[in-house]
Amino acid sequence: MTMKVDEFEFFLTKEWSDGLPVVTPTEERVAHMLTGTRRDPGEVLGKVPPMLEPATVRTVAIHAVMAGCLPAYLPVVLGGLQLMLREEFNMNGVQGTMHGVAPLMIVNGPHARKIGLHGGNGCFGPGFRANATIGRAIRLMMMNLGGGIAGLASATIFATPLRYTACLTENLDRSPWESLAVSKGYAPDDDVITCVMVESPRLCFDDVSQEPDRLLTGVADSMTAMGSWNMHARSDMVVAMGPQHAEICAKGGLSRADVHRRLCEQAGRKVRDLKGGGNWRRERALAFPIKVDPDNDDFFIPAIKDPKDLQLIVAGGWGPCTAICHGWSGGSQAVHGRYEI
Amino acid sequence: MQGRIVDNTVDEFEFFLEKEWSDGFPVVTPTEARVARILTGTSRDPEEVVGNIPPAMAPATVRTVAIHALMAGCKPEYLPVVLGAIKLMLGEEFNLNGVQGTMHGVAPLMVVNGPYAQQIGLHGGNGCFGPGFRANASIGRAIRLMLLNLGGGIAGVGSATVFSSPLRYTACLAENTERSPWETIAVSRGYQPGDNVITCAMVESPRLCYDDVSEEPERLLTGIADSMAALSSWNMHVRSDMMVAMSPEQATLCAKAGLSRGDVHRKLRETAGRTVRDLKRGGNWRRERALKINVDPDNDDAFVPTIKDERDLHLIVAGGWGPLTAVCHGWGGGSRAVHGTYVV
Repeated sequence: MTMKVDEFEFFLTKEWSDGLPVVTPTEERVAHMLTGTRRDPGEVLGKVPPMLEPATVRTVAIHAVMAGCLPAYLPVVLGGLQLMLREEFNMNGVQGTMHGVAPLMIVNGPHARKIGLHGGNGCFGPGFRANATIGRAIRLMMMNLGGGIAGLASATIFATPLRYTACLTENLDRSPWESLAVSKGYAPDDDVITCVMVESPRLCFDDVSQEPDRLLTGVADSMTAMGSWNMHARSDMVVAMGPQHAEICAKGGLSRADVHRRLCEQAGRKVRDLKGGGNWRRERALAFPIKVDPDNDDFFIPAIKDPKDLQLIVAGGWGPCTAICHGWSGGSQAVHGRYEI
Repeated sequence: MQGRIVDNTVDEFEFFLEKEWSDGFPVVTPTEARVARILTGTSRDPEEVVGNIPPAMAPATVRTVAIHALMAGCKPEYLPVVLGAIKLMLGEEFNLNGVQGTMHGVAPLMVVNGPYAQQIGLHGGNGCFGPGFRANASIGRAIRLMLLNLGGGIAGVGSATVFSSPLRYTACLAENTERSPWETIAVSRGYQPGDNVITCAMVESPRLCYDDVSEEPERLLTGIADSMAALSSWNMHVRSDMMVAMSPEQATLCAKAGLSRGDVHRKLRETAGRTVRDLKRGGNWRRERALKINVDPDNDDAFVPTIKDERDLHLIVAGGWGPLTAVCHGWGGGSRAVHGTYVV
């Protein structure tokens, strides 16, 4: 090994990575990765904004290799990217924005389980190859094909640690409810991805509440903030309840839909409160898809303007915690769909 | 071991990923040649013991630190920062043992000040909490790999973390001193601008607080203080650290109105909080927790400040231009932020 051509240094020096080492995409490794799909390597999935470099099955496979994926992960990466290129997801806007959100992937169905996607202890953090590398493959494409690099095409002020990787599944083994995908009308055996543009999780700890009312009051409190875009625009949000919190609700007789409805109703702030700080503007309030009265200080503005925007999942290990990811302002609608194995 | 695969059964990348010696991402294969090279980044003896990493208590020597720095993707010149940081994190008051095992999801965020950080390209501007900056990414990751491999802080094994945090992949940044109107956090603590200083605080991932409306500090700081409080944040219920990273634009707005760094620090401490009545409604309020922080649990009107001790609020200026502040809440188990100079 001569230091001048160290393969690791080569890729890090070229800025073809997120700052971490990548697997060198040799022809042999790319061919091995492509065994993970039956799709034609030349098939074009779409173009990644804002640079609009084409993503083919082969270029996706190359980035999946670089990120550290196994061939069995490739269908999820292909399916995830395809969904994210839908117009309503507005990837172009997110790539350029000053805010710091990332496309969080929630994968449901038997294939996620088969490849070891993790939805239990520590599912937002390191140590789980499928979670880590699938999310990273998406990010590498957003950088290398889309040019969404901070300080270049991206004006992001802080970015977010969720931009290293953002992929998980639900903890179905310990969830008292049906999955997110089933709640949207898919069959339990469908392999489904939901993608949502969100900030990194705000943790909501509650080892006190024994019944749903008090518990959901605490969760709803973390769903609002004067400086959150959820208060000032129609925006997505992910609420990941720990199985213990979900069980308190289920034992209190609440279905998944009941909890969803209650959070939609309860989370919010009064106009008086919102005027005091953060990004309140009268014209922003008037642009909501719901009717509000910005001149009535007692008017209650909900964090969730449309029930479709709240993605409620059960994830994480045992323990009294719920994770809440706030959304973005620029008009990105969560997308979901089946993917091909 | 020429870095080229012979066949897929012994692919060096697969080897490390299958052994669970990584965070799930590929690592640089730590060959003897590469380890020797990264050790050129320090003049310290490779056999010098830096400490034992809890809870597994495997020893960290200069050499094992170098191996993990290499695996993480560090350049030799990053090594002094990794060595300095792990030493600081092993200080008793930082309570690494508690954090490694806890159900909560915090990570040791490093803020590196001084000329050396600048020299190695540690980034404090646009996107500094995210990917694309090798020094930030690989230094923070080197720490995490040691917490996993030497400390055994693995989710579901040594760690009971419910959700963990994306900040556990990596958590290292500099301040944006070029665009900051104020002295650095290190200088505010009495260090010299020429000192190389690391501050480590155990925090959650950032909550973003957007404000493109306020034109004076009063309203701006009200919004930021609002993001510093939540019914179910540990900061409300115990003494706990918090990192507030103001963007240069928002810091400048305060500075132009005549506020020093110390003024903003004080105003945030005074403004951020909730009343006892409010805290009782939800989250992790407990009477005995309140008593421990000298709050009268029977006085519903009592104001509970987010910051119980002024040393716990770490105010920095970071990020690119734009109207945003990032707020990282702390942990409930008693970790005190640590800071100190490191040897280059």
